Amino acid sequence: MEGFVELTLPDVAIALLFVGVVAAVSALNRLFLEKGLLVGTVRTFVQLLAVGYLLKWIFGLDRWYAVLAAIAAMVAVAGYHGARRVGRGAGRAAVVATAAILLASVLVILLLFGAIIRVEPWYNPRYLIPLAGMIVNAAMNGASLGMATFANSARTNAGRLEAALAAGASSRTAARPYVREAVKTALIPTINTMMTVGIVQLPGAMTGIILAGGAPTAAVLYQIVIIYMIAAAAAASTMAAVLWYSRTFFTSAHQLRAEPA
Amino acid sequence: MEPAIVCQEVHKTLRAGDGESAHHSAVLAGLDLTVGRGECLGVLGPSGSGKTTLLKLINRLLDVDAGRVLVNDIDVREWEVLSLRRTAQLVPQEPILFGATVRDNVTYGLTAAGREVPADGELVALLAEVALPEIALERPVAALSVGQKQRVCLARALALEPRILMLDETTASVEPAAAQAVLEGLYGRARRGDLTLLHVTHEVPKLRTLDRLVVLAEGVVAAEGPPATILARPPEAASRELERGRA
Repeated sequence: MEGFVELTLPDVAIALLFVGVVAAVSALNRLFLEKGLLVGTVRTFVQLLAVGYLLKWIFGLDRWYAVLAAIAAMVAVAGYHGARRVGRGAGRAAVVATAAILLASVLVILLLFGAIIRVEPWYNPRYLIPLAGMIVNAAMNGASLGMATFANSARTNAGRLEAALAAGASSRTAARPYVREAVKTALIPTINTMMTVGIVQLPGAMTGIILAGGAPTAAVLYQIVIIYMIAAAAAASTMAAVLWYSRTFFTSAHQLRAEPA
Repeated sequence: MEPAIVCQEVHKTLRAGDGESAHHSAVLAGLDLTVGRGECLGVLGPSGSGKTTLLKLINRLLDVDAGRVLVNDIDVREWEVLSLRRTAQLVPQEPILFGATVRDNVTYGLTAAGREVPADGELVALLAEVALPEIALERPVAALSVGQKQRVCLARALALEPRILMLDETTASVEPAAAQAVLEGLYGRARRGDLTLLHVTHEVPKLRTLDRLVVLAEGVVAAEGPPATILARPPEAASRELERGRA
């Protein structure tokens, strides 16, 4: 690799002009986004700077437990965040989301690093952390959308669910149409990405490798693997999350569970 | 007459409303009721008196807070719950249909139970029993009237050969003559001892043809007796509903 042009803090300061464009659009249209924009601008700076230093420290530490702890933290935050859109009962949803994201991420990471990207040592943070981040993120988005969709349709269709139970259907059978719909809805963005990748957008990892001086053809192979892996993570996580989450809407006696207020 | 359903000291509180405005209201407060096998019982009472709740406690869509409900002398909590529900079928007022066609619906419970779907002849006979002889099995349910949908729901319940049938205003939108024909068919099943019928309704003509009426009020049975007696001098709790039902 040829290396790449490094940026300095003054360069970043100039990039604030971009934010100025957003502020101008907001002011001209009276969108009142200025406050959110200010917070977002500061958060972007602080969060990414902090992550940069944290990663630098973990890379320097070069210990397997530090890498795994970082991934565990990603999963926990993703689980909490992914459950926030379900409405009532976000607590139990967070447990479900975290477990589903963990399960899907572990499966995908094992396959990815066991058979495709073989690095030395196995916990090499330069590979494991960014790739795990993409996997956990995809798993979170799938689980989150799937659970929110299921929660919404189960609440809207409580009468239908109860009618199915009254007709002698098990809770699994009664919930099946809504489970199916939720999984399908949650996977649409993933499928759309697979359809348009490279045409509509150049994905982040590929862009990164090219910026860092890698050959586009090499970058593309990485990106293909990444897209497949993201699709698998999203699918596995969505499936596990929606199936398990749907169970929490019923008692073991195939009754609709009264939801906490 | 041996009992098909026994409710002993049944208490049930439901949460009503949502979020901040949620409150608990006692719906049933020590209700006692026995329904004999083959009996056709009418249940009436003002709205909120627990009629629907009572039916849901019998097929265990809900659980009692205190007391117990026995079906065929067995506490409903000791029944395998899906087989209880197939034995004691509840058909609500709002006709909720599954799948696309009349056939999908009539066979829904059978398929869910993993039972064999009978030949078309038997399915058509079921439709005839609910006064839908002219309806084809492949007819899309979306095109049916509310009264027809209610009868498809009833056929779906009968397909499971229930021993207890609970109608919750199920025939409210069915044209009166057809409704009475359907009910007569059900009474026939009951007289043979094949069926116990609980009918929640406030329509006087339908109440008149039942064996016995119970009036729910304040969470208990406020009055009971033969239809002629109850309808002649209805307790205050039921009079307003009956006034509407006479129309």
